[in-house]
Amino acid sequence: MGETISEKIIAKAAGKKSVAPSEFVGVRPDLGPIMYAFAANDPPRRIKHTLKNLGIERILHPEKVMIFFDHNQPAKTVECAELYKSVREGVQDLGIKHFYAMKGIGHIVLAEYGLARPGMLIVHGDPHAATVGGIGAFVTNGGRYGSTPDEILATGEITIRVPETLECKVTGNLGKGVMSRDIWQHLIGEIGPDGAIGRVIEYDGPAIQKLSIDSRMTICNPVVFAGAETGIVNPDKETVDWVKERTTEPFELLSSDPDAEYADTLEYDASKIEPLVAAPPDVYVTKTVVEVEGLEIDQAVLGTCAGGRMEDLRIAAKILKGRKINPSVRMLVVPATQDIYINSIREGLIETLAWAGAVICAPTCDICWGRMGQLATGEISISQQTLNIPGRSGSDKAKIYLASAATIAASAVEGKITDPRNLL
Amino acid sequence: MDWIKKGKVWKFGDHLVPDVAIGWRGEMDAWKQEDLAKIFMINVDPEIPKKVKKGDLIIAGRNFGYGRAHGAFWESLSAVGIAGIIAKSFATPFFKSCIGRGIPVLECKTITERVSQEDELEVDFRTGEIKNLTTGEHFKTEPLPDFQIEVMEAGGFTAYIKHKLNNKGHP
Repeated sequence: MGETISEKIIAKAAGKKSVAPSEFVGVRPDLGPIMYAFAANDPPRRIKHTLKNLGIERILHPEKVMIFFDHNQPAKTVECAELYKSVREGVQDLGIKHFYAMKGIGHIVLAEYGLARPGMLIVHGDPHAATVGGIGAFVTNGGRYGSTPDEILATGEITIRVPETLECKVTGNLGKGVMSRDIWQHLIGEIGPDGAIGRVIEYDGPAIQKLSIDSRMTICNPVVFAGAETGIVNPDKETVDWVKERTTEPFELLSSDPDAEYADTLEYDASKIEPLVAAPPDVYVTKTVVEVEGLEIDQAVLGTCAGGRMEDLRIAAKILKGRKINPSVRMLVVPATQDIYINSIREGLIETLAWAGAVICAPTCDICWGRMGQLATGEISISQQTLNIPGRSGSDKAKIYLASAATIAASAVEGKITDPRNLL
Repeated sequence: MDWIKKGKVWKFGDHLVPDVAIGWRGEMDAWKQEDLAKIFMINVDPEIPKKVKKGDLIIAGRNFGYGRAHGAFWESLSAVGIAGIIAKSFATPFFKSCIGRGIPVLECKTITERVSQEDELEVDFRTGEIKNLTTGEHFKTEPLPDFQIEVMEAGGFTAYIKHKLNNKGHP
């Protein structure tokens, strides 16, 4: 019987020939624990506290630990500035070399800098770090039935229960104005918010192979909202080229066998997927753009760990080229990372977007969780962010629709939710 | 750890989102427990924070605790003194944090059909035995896996790791 990519990566990290779903194993991660700082969470301080509680003096493998400072920055309050200072000093005390601040959103930086590579087992506390599954790495926080990333600080390993895999096969071609975000929105609309509890979502099929790495990371980012342990895409030539452009470090290509055993297989035809939105207050309530078309918006947001990629800025620039954003809309564009910011300047995308009336913000997580770009009572936003719960981005009486970059850009032009196929 | 809990039931539906139930505000993870107690399930029913008592139990439908796992909700659960939760199923981040924080949980596919709001239950969270003291019905559900019981017996993940280190020695 064949194995899935996840089983192969777990077996390698467990030092075993093979593993089977439901088996408890100790794995030695290639990277981890990876953490990020935000208000009320100072990771070095927390690590020191954990080490003290465990009665040990140092982190066993500080070279595998990474800390990103992508929330609460640039500092908006003295508290944010103090947090940054404390974290920066703390990583030095603990001998943590991998500290990244002012580089952009950690989940993307991780892949962009070649720190995360295909075939790696990576432990990250945040379920949205599944983003990196887009390059064929297995990301876990210990999973539903496993231990916590803190275990690695002390023992260098973490106990996990091998999850079963849900195969999500996508065939056909995405239509004009339909993006990877719509594939995800379609999937969660079909399987529901508990449709993948305790399972890995493995995307494959011809339509997935045609997706860019940007898109593959986008569909892996939100899998936790279907209850999944993580998301993963088998690496291919596209992956190898993308990774080699960014690092000379070696990596191992592991992929699912053709006869791998899946808990279930779902099949979708990409050509039948339309532009979609997640309707507030839930991420899983899927509606077609056509159903909500015409709803007036106050804000349009590109960015966050679920967006703000090169291809998102490219499609937005394509739609906004020669057009102006509707005067009633505030459009905020947050390139996910500093590298994306630089590349989008080089490509002229930033000029197009800014000329159309978008405000370009520094790479940060803060637009997503309401530390900047807040909404007022009764306002409506259309955004690429991860979550649309009330109060996520300002007033709890505001509404947030989640959509693809194409739908957001088209809506910004018209001042109301708009089908991007009309403007492409 | 005391696995047997007796208490009055608060009943909730499917896919309850903690962030929606208490309302999400940036940086609320840093709020004081007493302030988080005042908003416990307030958006489900504003009377709940006034009426909930230490030792009460939660009964819920599918996928309880859905969404992002923000610390404020557990602080609020602990602040009001919820003794345990039985749901048809739990969202993963929520399930895991309950294990780590020592909040006993059980999954039971028929729980919402067998228990009504304000029933009194006696639950052995270790064995999965449930007694509905109001209706007189006794039934049993699948207990937690041994690993989760071990972690909770130890007193959370940190205590579990410490226990493991003591047995194996620091590598």
